[in-house]
Amino acid sequence: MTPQAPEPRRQSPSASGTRPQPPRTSGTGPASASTPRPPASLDGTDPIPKPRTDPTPTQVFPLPHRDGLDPIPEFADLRRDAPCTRIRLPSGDRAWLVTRYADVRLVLGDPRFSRTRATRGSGPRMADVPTLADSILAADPPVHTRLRKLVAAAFTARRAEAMRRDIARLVGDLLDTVIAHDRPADLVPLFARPLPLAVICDLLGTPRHDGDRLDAWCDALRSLTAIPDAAVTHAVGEMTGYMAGLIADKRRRPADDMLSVLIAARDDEDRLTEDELVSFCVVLLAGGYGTTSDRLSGMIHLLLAAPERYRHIRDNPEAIPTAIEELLRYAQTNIQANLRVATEPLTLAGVDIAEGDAVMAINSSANHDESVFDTPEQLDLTRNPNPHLGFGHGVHHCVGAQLARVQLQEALTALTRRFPTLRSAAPATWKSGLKTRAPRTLPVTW
Amino acid sequence: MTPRPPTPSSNGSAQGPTHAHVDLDLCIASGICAATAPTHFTQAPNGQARVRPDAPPPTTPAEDAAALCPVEAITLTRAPAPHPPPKST
Ligand code: HEM
Ligand code: HEM
Ligand code: SF4
Repeated sequence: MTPQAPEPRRQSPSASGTRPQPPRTSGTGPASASTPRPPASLDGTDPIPKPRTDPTPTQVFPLPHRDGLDPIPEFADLRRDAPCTRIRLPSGDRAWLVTRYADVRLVLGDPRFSRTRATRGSGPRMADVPTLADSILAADPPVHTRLRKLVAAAFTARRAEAMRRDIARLVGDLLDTVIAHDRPADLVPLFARPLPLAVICDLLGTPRHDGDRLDAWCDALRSLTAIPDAAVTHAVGEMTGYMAGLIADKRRRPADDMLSVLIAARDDEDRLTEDELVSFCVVLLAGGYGTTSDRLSGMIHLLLAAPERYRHIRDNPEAIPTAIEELLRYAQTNIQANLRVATEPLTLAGVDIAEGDAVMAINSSANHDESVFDTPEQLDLTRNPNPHLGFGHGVHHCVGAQLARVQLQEALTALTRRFPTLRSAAPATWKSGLKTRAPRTLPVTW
Repeated sequence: MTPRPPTPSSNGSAQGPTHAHVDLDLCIASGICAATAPTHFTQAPNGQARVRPDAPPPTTPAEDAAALCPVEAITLTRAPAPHPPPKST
C-alpha cells in the first residue's frame, strides 16, 4: 500500500503536555491560509473527490468494517501520513480524526477540548441522536468533578479488590453452567454477557434479569450505521425510561447500593439534578455492561485464535494481569471515539484546529503507535510496561477501569483453570456497523 | 465555581494542606489529576503524575484530584511547622 498523501506541513512540533496554553490572538495563524493538500484516500489508490464546500480533503468515515480485532491498516496509514485528518461524520458534520498516541493523549487530557460543547447546544455531532448531555461523560470540570466525586470512592482499586471474592464466585457459578452445557457452547450468552451484567446490576442495586433488553439498547447506543438514528433515539428514550422506573422503585425501597447513594445525593443533599441522576445511572449501566462484555468475549477470541496464547496464560496464571493489559491494548475494539470540541484555536500534529472544531481522538489507534510500542502489531502477552489508553485518559478516564480489570482477571483465571483444553469450535461471528467491534457469537468446545 | 488560590498568609501557616505527594508505585497514569488540577499536577512523559515544582499549596482542585484518583495515590499533607505551634494541642 503506497499512500499518496504527503506529510501534513508541520507548523510546530506536535503539542505535548497538558498545560493549558494561552489563547492565540490572531485566529488560526498563517498556516490556516494553507493550500489544501491532495486528498489522501484510505486505500492509497484513488483520491476521494472533495466536496466543493469544504476546503480540506475529507476521509471516509467510518472505515470499512472488518471482522476481528486485529489492527486496522487504515489507522496505521493515517498515523504515518495524516495523523490529524479531516473526516465527514455520519451526520454530515466535519471533524478531525486524530490517530497518534501523543496527540490522542493530549486531546483526552487537555481542558481545551470540551465534551460539553460536543453534547450541548449546536455544533458538530456524530449523528442526529441524543447525546445524554446531563451525563458524567458529557460534562467538563467543574460539573464533571462534582458528578465524579459522587462515585469515585466506590470505584477505587481498593474497592474493586474488595469485590474480587464475590466476582470470583459469580465467575464460578457461570462456568458451572458452561460445563453442564452441550458442546459446542457459545461463550457470549453463557459467560461474557452475564458476568458484567451481574456485577454492575449488583453494584447499582438493579435487577439482573433484564439483560436481553439491555443488550439491545447497548448495541443500539453503539450504532454507527447499523440502525437509523431514529431507532437509536428510541432506544435511548426506552433505556432512560427504564432507568427512571428503577429509580422510582429504589426511592421507595432504598438499600445498601450505589443507586441509593446517588438518590440520597439528589434528594437529601441536592448535589445533582434529577436529569443528572437518571443520566448518570444510564451511563453506569451502559458503560459497565456492554464494554466489559465486548472486551471479555474479544479477549477469549484472541486467546483461542492462537492456541499458544491460551496455553501461556493457562500455564502462567500469575501472568494474567499483564496479559490482560496487552489484550486491552492490542484489540482494536473501539473504531471511533466520543467527540471533543476545541474551545480555542490550537495546533495538533502540525494542523490548525479552529475554535469550535470537533476532534475524534482514537484510543485504539494510539495503542498501536509505533513510536510508543515496539512491534505494536504483535500481541505480546508479556509486554511491560504497557501505557495503553484502552480506558481513555484525562478526566473521563474510565471510572470502572479497576472493576473491569478485576472481572477480566477473575474470568480468565477461572476459565483457563477449569477449561484447560478450551478451543474454538467454529469461527466467531461479529457485530458490525457499531462503534465497537466485538464477537456476536463465540462457539467453543473442550 | 473556579476556586481561587489561597491568599498566602503572613505567618506562613496556611489553612488546609500545604503539600501534595504522588505515590508513583500506585499511579496508573490515568491523567485525571493533571486534567482536574492543572496548576498542581502535570504528567511525566510516561503519563504518570508529577506535582508541579511551582505548585501553590493545594487548593480545592487539588483536593478534588486527590478524591478522584482511582488508586488513591495522591496525599495532601501539612508541612511540618517550622517552629513549635504557638498553642498547645
Ligand atoms: C444515551 C446513552 C449513552 C450512554 C449510557 C453511554 C455510555 C457510554 C459510556 C459509559 C462510555 C464509556 C465506555 C466506553 O468507551 O464504551 C461510552 C463510550 C461510547 N459511547 Fe456512549 N453513551 C451514550 C450515548 C451514546 C450514543 C448515543 C452512542 C452512539 C450512537 C454511544 C456510543 C458510544 C461508544 C461507541 C463508545 C465507545 C465504546 C467502547 O469503547 O466500547 N454512546 N458510552
Ligand atoms: C473493559 C471494560 C471497559 C472499557 C474498555 C471501558 C472504556 C472506557 C473508556 C475508553 C472511557 C472514556 C470515554 C471517553 O473519554 O470518551 C470510559 C469511561 C467510563 N466508563 Fe468505562 N470501560 C470499561 C468498563 C467500565 C465499567 C465496568 C464501568 C462501570 C462500572 C464503566 C463506566 C464508565 C463510566 C461511568 C465512564 C465515564 C467516566 C467519566 O466521564 O468520568 N466502564 N470507559
Ligand atoms: S489521578 Fe492518580 S492514577 Fe491518575 S495520574 Fe493522577 S496520581 Fe496517577
